[in-house]
Amino acid sequence: MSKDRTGGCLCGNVRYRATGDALAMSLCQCSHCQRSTGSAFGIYVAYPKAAFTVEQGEVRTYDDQGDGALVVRAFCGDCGSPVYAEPTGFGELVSILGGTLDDKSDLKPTVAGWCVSGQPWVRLPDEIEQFEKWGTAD
Amino acid sequence: MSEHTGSCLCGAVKYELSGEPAFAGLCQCDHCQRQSGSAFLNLVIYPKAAITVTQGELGTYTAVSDMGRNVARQFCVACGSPLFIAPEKYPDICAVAGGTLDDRSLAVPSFSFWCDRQPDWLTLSEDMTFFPGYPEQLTL
Repeated sequence: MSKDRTGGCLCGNVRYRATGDALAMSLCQCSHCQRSTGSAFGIYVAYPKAAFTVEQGEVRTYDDQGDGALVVRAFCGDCGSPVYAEPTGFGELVSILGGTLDDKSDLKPTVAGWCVSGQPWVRLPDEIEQFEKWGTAD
Repeated sequence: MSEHTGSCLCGAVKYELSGEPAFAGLCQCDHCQRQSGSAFLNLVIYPKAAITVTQGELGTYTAVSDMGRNVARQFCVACGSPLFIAPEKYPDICAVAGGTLDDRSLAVPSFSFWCDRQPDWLTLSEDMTFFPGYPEQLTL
């Protein structure tokens, strides 16, 4: 039985808990994830919605209508940290932003999407399955 | 003088940068990981005077770094994108979050701080200089 995963934003106002096994761990190098993180990719740890709880604080949300389906991005209004994303079209899913986890020791993404817009100075190992865009839905 | 531009995810905040960056790097510290939700923040250093926010509203969260100094972290209040990171140690400069630049070629990092936090699954360009933690002896 997996232990719970906990995490929170930079300022500590938003704290969450996820129980059970993660469904998937992935990276996304699309332009929206790069702007949303200010970085080179988003790290996403997906859980069934029922397994995820915001235990403290409130998130603000932004409806990110990109080229594909809507992604609702939840962030802390006090510090801006992206906490989780809810992509539509994948069922009842919450994707935690990996950088906000308290314990990243078992964070191992297995798939990366939108590698076509990845930064050339990021190198991903062959163990991470890399898609030019997103392949089939998980 | 060349102008570069950028914006947050939702487009509410737009900015202009005058001239080229002084340099660019990555920080993999816990604060930068949490603020980005990613493995690092991509920091593109400019003189503060070269940065103009042309529209939009910024929120500011001032964090105390691992070294005990204030770092003012500004983000878009409408979508959360990290935008500007201003360390009190260097009052004349500001780091622009590289992921928000329209021209990402400006953001190619030449170094990384806190590389001791780098995960096993990530490799970065061998052209970079890697510092575990923050190099106190560094002057910008």
